[in-house]
Amino acid sequence: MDDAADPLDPALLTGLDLPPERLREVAAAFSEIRAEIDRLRAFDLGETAPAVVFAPERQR
Amino acid sequence: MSAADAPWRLSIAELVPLIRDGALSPVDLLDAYLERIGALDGALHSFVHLNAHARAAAEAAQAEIAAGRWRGPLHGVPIGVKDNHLTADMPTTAGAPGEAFPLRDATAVARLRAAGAVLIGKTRMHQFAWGMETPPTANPRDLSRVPGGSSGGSGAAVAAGLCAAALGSDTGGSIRIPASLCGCVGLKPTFGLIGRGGIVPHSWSLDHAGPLAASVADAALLTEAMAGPDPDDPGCAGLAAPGLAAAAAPGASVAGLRVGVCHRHFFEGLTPAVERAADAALAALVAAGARIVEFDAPELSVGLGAIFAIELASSTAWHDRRLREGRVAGFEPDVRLLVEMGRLVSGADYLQAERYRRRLGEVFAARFADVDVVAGPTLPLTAWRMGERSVDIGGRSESVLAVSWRLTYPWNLLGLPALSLPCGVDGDGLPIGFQIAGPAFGEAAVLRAGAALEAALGGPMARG
Repeated sequence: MDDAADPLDPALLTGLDLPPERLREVAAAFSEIRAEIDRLRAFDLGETAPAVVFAPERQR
Repeated sequence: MSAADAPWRLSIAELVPLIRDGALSPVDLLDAYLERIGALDGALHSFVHLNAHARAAAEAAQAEIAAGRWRGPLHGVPIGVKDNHLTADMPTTAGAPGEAFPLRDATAVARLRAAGAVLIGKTRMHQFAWGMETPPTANPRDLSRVPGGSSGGSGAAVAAGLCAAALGSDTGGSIRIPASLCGCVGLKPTFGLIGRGGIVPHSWSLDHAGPLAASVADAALLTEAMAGPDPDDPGCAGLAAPGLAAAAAPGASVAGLRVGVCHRHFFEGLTPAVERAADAALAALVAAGARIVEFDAPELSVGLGAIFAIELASSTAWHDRRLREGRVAGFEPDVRLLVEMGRLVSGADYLQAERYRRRLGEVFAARFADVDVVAGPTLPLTAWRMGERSVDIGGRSESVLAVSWRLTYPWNLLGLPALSLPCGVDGDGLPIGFQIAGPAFGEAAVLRAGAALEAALGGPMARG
């Protein structure tokens, strides 16, 4: 990693090597989805584990 | 008009005795569809490729049947194939013409071929199975409106009578959405019933393969033919599905069937026409002997975020190399945007979605102890106009992405079987879809309920 790189660089944070104006466009389009994901984040799932878990007996 | 004049009007179930007994040759049937395609597909754009080998396959089927070697109900029947299913004799592009996928048969395609089906061509899809419009395909009921997506070409081709049935794939609703908007039947089976080997992935844990057809019985026939083991799909259950065609056969009864209705979520935010048609469909099921069991599932209020997180992240993971290497020129603008947006879903979001998925599975496992099927509208609305990015229902603006998935996505998250069949039309004559879902591998009950409702409503929606 370049020592001079800004760790808060949006391109670095998102992994999208895009010009700033394109990143803004992507982020703006994501806002509707972000709102839905935020509602999911606020939902109390208690101790529920993920649906997808590692299953060694199914490895091939 | 006789069957010989217009065999494209017939369902597969109606074609079977004609083909088996030699009254209709597979070559004549293929020609009837090709003539329809020649006349109509210049406006519909439902096919991206016609199979140059279809005539040879139809001739082979004709010879086999004449020699007394009838393989079964799909022998000699022309079927369209969504362009994300690999085919040995046709190119596959997944909606991206620059792509060069291998020339081999997907497992589902191979099963249909072995059953004697004639693969007539590849149907257009929204690129990489993202999106709800499938441009430039038009809805055969109104050419100014979308057919839905991502299996829009399959829905339009079946509803217009350009093939007997077609294959689709469904990640958030992509079989049921075009079935609902175009006015045909679509079945998303249980996750793992139909192997996905050789189907271009979109979201590994949400993708399902299934048929779009002219009737519930036809959807059952195709599902039964395509179910079974698939060494190329680690998610495949390896189960055959005998008895589905029998479950959907004429005379299917719903006497005593417990039909679960969850007004929260599944009946919220509907257009008045959709609400009326769905209520009438429920009344028809009750009149046929079914019993309504009301239930609630408040957890559904936050589920859209879960499917967004899983589908976006999965799609982006599959396209990751292309993104990193900057090979984005082949993406349609809307698909590129979605694939790039997937980078903004965090790992924590993804796992929260998977935790929610387990919770929702527990909720519906409990509900299915009390009901045999769950029913309601497939979509909150009918086909919107091409180019519209949002719609207005009851004064509330909603993106077409959200409105398309709102009622279909729970069954993808849960991996449970869900059928869409026409249940009427709105004031503009546009089809309205009705959705019937069931427990895991409960396709027989779903299809029985669908066939009974279809009969109660006067039979399958006319094509053309």
